Amino acid sequence: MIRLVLILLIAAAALAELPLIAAQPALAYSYAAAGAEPLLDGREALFAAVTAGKWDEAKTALAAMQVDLDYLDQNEDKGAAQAFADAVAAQDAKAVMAAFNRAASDEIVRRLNGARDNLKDYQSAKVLVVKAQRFYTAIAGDLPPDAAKLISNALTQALDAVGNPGVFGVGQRQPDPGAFASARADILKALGKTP
Amino acid sequence: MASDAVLGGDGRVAAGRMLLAGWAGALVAYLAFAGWLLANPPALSSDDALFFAHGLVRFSILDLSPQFPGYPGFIAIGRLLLPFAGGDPVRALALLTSLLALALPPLAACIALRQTGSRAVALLAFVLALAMPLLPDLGLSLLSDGAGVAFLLVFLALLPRPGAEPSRLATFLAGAALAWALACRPSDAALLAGAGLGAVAVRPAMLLPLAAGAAAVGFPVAATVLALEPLYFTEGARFTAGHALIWGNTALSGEQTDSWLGAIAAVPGGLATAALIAAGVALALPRLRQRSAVLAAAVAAFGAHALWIAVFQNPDSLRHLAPLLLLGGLVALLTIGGGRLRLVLPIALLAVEVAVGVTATRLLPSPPPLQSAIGYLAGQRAGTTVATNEGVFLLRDRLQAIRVYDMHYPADAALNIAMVPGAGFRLASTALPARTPVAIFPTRFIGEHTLYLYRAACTLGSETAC
Repeated sequence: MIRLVLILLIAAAALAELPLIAAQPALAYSYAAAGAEPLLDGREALFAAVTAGKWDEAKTALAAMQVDLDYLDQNEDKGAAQAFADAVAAQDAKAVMAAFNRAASDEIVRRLNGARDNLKDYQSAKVLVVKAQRFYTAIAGDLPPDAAKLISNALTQALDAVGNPGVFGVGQRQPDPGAFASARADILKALGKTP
Repeated sequence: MASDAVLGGDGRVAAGRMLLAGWAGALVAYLAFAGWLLANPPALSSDDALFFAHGLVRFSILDLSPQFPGYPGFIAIGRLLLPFAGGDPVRALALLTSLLALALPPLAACIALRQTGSRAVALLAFVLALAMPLLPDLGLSLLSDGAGVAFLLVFLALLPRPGAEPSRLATFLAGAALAWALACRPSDAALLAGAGLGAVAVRPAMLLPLAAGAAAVGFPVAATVLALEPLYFTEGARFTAGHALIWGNTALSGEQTDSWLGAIAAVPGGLATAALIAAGVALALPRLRQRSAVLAAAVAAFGAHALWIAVFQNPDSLRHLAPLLLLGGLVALLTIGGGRLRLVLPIALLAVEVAVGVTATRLLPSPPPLQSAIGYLAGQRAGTTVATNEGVFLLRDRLQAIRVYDMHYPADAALNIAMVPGAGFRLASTALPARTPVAIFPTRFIGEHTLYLYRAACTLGSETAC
């Protein structure tokens, strides 16, 4: 019986080779996925419409981002929302990209400021810097390569500056406000913002 | 083996000579493989490998240094090798993964020899492990897969012989090996849990020493990881959900563009190998009544890992199949019975694996496809744009004058490339229909993807994807 099973399986295996299915490599993994970020999801819809020259759809996409843009406008950067509205009204693709880069920079700075203000709270500070880093990763291609490298290195420095509470003293490192401030200043400079 | 006993004096001498010749041939093949591994340039082949290289110099899981689940055992051994690699993390990784791949054939032979007492079966185990088509990938991809399998084999090698009482010390060490395998490769938890539970199911007396050995390694490792990365579980929840449900191309992610069956069938000889492995494991099932701890551990690990990768792993990464190939070959060997057909299955498996491996492996040492692509793009003018799903982090790290767009955000890539004057490129692991690549970067062995570089096709006013 076992012999029969063996022979049948080997024969089946050989036959199975005949109709080889064509390779269909899958789309790759992306660690850059930033998770739920309305501004980034909005960017996809907005940029797709702008590339296709469908400005009515661009207005709809912009409306979906409005809550987040209004928040930035009121709390971080007066005029950030209006820049989008003007760019879409003028049907100016370059201005749309500039408006997005401005808002994305605001998002990074907002999180860095949150981390700076909570530097004594390891969990909050580290999560905020990591969120800034993920946001940066999602827009890194949009930035000039020199600025992108500078920001990438400074974000690593900011993460280290957050310190580490460790476990029973093992791995413990105190936060370093000076190093954090220096990293933040470098990032703001690379983003063209005033420290 | 049973037939050894019935051979006459001359027959025994002839069989001994054949065995010696077999071992000599196997060792020559092993040394040739080792030479080939070391002749290939140490080079990062993926973002994962880049993250491991970062992890060797700075351990911070939240910012992908390395990625979750941190692979602390693998990182620890890699750091130990840094001084032997001149402090270069890429060389240390290459050295580590090459050594781990080279450890697999001797470990498989040890298990077979200990369990069967037959040098011929040990030779077959050695050769089967050496012929495994994914062995070059384990050695040269600079990833942690080989570490998990190697320490799993150490665990199996320490389990008792059939009928023998388990030694407490050996079982304690087996538990420690299993925990270290988990420390090296936490993403193989199902495989390793299956192995431990399988062994304990047939030998309940092993539970305490096995658990003690696992705890002796597991607790210090867990404490160290939590000390270095206190937000480990926070990142774990984000990463696991993201991997399984959003970006991981898994059966649960809803956007799986390939299936495991399709991925295996796309490899010439893949289905034959899979069928032979499945036959070997199926035929072993009735033998589980013999209460062999190794057999039970190997079969349970095989089943658990097969289920795990079917649901939670990306069919794009064939390396996840390596434990199944190794365990399947071992199981087939350990259940060799009497009769003339006893060697048919392992030898058929060996023949198919050799054919698969030899036809798909490039003998001339060469860099991974992604490094070849990096070399090509490095020759382009500064500010050139490229949109890709492949190795976004590695490309950005190595091509600092090139703008690299992640095709996870295709509209961002399309608009930016359309707006930037000059040549834009699309780097893909799929041959795009009706388009002619400007360059093709071929694979070196099974498990890698050929990469195709195209001129980007995105322009303003067009809805065409790049």
